[in-house]
Amino acid sequence: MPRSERSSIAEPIDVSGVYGGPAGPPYTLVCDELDKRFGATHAVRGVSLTLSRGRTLALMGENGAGKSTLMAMIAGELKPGSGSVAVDGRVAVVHQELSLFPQLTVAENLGLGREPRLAGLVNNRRLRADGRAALDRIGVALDVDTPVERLSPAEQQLVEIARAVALNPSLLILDEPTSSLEPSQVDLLYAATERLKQDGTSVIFVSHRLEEVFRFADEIAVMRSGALVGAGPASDYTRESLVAAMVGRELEQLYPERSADRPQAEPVLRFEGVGGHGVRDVSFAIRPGQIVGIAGLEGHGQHVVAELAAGVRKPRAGRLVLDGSTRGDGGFKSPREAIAAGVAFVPPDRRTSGLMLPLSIAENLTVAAAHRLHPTRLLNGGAERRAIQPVVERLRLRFAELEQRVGELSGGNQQKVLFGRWLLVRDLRLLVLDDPTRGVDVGARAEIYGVLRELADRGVGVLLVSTDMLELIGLADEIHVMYEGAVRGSVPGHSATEEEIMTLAAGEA
Amino acid sequence: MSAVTASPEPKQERRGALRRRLLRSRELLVSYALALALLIAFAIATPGGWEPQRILTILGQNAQLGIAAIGQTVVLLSGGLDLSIGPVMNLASVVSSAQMRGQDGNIAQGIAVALAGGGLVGLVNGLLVARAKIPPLLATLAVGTIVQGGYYVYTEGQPKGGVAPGLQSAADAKVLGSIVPWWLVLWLAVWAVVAFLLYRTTWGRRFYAAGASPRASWLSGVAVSRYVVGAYVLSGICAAIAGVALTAYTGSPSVSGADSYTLQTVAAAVIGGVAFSGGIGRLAGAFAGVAVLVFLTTILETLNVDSAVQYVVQGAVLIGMMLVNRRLSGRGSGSAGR
Amino acid sequence: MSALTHATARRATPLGTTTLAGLKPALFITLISALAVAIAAVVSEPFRSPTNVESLLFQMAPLLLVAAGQAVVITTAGIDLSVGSMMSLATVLAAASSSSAGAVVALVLVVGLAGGLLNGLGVVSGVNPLVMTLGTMAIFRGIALLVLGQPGGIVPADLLTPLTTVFGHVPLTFLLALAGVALLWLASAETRWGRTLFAVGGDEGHARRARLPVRRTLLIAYSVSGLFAALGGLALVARIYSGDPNVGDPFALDAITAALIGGVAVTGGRGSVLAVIPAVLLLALTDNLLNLAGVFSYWQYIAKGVILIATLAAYHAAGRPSGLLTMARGGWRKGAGDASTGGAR
Repeated sequence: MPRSERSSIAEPIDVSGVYGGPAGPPYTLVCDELDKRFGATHAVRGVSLTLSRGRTLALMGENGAGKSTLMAMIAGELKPGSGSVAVDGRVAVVHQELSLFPQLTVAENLGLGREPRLAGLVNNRRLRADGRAALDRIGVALDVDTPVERLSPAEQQLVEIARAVALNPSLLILDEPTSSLEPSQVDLLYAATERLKQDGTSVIFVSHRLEEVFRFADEIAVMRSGALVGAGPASDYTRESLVAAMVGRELEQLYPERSADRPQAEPVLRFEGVGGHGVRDVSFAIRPGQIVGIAGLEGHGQHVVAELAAGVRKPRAGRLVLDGSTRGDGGFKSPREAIAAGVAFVPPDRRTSGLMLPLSIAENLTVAAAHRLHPTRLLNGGAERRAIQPVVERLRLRFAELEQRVGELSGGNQQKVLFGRWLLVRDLRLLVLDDPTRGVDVGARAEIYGVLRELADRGVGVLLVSTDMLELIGLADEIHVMYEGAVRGSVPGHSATEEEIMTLAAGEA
Repeated sequence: MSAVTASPEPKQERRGALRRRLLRSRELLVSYALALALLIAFAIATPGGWEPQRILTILGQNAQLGIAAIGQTVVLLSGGLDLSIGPVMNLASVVSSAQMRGQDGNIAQGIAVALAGGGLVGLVNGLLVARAKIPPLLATLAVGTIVQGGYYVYTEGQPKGGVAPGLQSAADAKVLGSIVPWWLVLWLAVWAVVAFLLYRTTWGRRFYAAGASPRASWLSGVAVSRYVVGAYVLSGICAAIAGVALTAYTGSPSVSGADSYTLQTVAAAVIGGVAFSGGIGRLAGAFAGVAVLVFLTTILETLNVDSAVQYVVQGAVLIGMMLVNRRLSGRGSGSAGR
Repeated sequence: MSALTHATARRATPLGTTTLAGLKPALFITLISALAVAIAAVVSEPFRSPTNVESLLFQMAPLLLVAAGQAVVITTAGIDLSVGSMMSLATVLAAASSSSAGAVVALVLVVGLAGGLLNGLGVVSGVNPLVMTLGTMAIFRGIALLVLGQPGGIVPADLLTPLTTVFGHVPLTFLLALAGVALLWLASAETRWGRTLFAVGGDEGHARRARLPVRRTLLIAYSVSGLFAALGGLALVARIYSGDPNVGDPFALDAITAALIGGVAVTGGRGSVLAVIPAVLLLALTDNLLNLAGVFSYWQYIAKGVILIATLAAYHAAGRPSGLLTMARGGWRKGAGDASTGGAR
């Protein structure tokens, strides 16, 4: 379900009467055969679930498994296709996309819509005091008069959580609440949720970090392809059984075989002491046939690395070396220059930065290669279709017709269109990807991974930035972990573990 | 190529594809339907009925709105807005007349100066929007105001020179003794050229992409700035052509004759289904929009409706069309300053 | 980026922090205006004369009101092009009805609110504000022409007299306009409605998701704009002593210009209504000084345009995100991948 259509911090709503009568004690949440389709996609298949007061549930599942849709229905943001959900009290949701108002202060954001009043006017003193109290509840100390746009991503995430907590919900839903947080902040959050649980609040959270799951959660529910494939106390699961339940197959089957390393080959791209835009002294190489991964907590520079490689940003220090020749000015002046040199970029947020939503599939596919496909600059429909055909087949792109608006496709197919755009460009040397499988179902992901490995085998370098550690471990030959703008350490992909990566991402070891 | 369903019979498939295609251009169809309805109403309500000559003449007399609307449409497709169209039309009127000084020999020069002026203003607009990143409403508003001041000061309220008689007579002339007015042909020619660029070349494709999502296009290697600047330059040139056409039609230059045109071009484009968000809508919509406005006005005038009521009707029709388009597409149409 | 800091005890001002921040551009413009006034007062004797001052203040009153209402609408990332026609309508209603002052004022206020509400309804139904108010601009103008086809009419004496009252050389309408702007500023900055205005202008999608009363807020915003345009029309009557169905035409763009000069971001979510006061002063000063200097009056167009671009360039240079830099790279539209909002990623 398109992320942009979901809401973030919900005004406390009591769904208890709406869908099926109140949930009685000891249950805070009762879901009965919840089902939802979006067109041809069966997002949630008959999920039934209960959660008691004061308990924490970790909702697990890969990207595209249906977790967001399920949470949206529980929160009352989305009407179920069938089935019912009942919540005993208020629900507050914190989504991963921050939806604070950047130009307003922390206090103003925390109190928005419920400002304390004095004779009709906002009582700013109370507002500030309330803001501080809300932050205290989760143990965070911030200047409540700071405009939110001046906070770091971690601080913003904490403010969002504080806002939800301040609503005194019976059920708190957190979507990847720790993606930007450092370990000390994660501890804060843990302590805060413990306090909430003692007060009787139930918590549902989604996380990809298995060790956090086992630390925070009393119960675990696993979704796969829209269905609930397992639910029970956390103690029933081990790491391996949890991963297996999520993926539904041996890990190796989702991710293709790695190819042999070619240590003697000239690297496709070398970062030499690159710095600027929040990163410093970044050095690594991508050899032909290699998939190099970049990991790290949000806000520590991994997206900047992708942008530097793709020409979205120019290095302020150091230089990029492409196929042995140093770039003039040390980098690429623009994506146009990078593309001309053979570097392509699949950005995160495909809906806002990747696709032209009102345009057709054909137009989206051909936008980068347009001049090459039509050398006279006159559009040639036949030539275009002939060029698109093999790409569509290779990606197993599913659609009704090429003239269809790309906004109507599923997440997985949309992502494939982005890939397809670059497959049409000739002389590709390096493909830079940032979170390429977010919101993509497992079938499409397997197909995308296959294409990536094929490209790598043909000699194209792949730079993969991802927040999904399992993806990095499964796919990358080498993983560099960012911390505070520098490469903290590197681990070989085939033997990397989540703990190793997390340790480095937290600035330790 | 894999389709969602098993491949249907070829004939069914073609019909299905046609239906889908029509559905995609809903707003365009509705605007043409409205234009047609108004045309029929015009034929019924006024003496003279279905005379093609009359209808073509009316369209020809409003060719300047049509040409200006083409420029505005292109700017809207780029995700922007051009509020300087009226002032540029007036500018064209003033400088072309000053150059022509009422003599046929100077027609070419007069037109050239007007086009250069329009293009220059468009260039300034484009650079402010694309390079200085000033929101289009603001940039074109400011530039339009300055241009307005410019020609007011230059002419001190009284335009100099005059329209060459040769140009004036062209306003009424028809093509080769037929019933098609020259100005209408000019309008169609401009439409054809711009449509060719937009729909039959790669540049047009990339331009639509730049309008639909500047960021995604930029990341895909499209020189978004160039296309945006180009859109405003084209709009300036179209406005200049329209200004000259208007002057030829009225017979004398004016510093305020085109003041109402700016917002009319916006109305025409919007009625034709062009969205403010960029990348949505077709050039053909501008024609339908102008036709709607022109036929509506003509009907009201022929029926001797008070000009006051005309205003009310025009406003109501514009709002009504927008509500209809909203229902059709189920999406919002962006916001003013964006 | 800041590490976690401890809460500091801020000075306990009753005003909101963002409210105060919105006043910064106003300060800048006030300084410029004050400077201009000072220089003009020293250099030009005609400028100093009480008659001139009185005339200047009379001239400012209508624009103050209209610009304040416009500032509210622009804060929501919208726009109201119909204010000029609404002003004209107000003047003709004042001049065409032979009732008492009280009835006329009541009528004008009701019409202003109703017109504004109509705009609001269109906008919340999804019609683009530019287009909606373009349509109502035509509708209101048509209605004004129906009421009074030509400038003229008779304004009831018991309305005209109070409207043209002067205290010393300070017109009543000017004082009322100041009061109106101040009240609107307070309401738009320090009430729940006002806070929601900024949220809606900042990001309407987020505001909806946060379950803020977006519909109601927008309806009130446009109603207010209509109301203040109508009030501006009444203030205008004090200058023209009649009704005129076209008199309000230039005011729509002037109001927008004033709001933008005052620092209200055209993309919404930032700025202060109070800032229209120094902005309108600057614009009126420019007119006044050009007139006194005997400069051809059409230079004021150029002056306005230049002032607009110059102030925006100054805000941009000061690093203030006044809506100029709506996107960090490669684009100039908000919402299409804004890289400057503190970085969610």
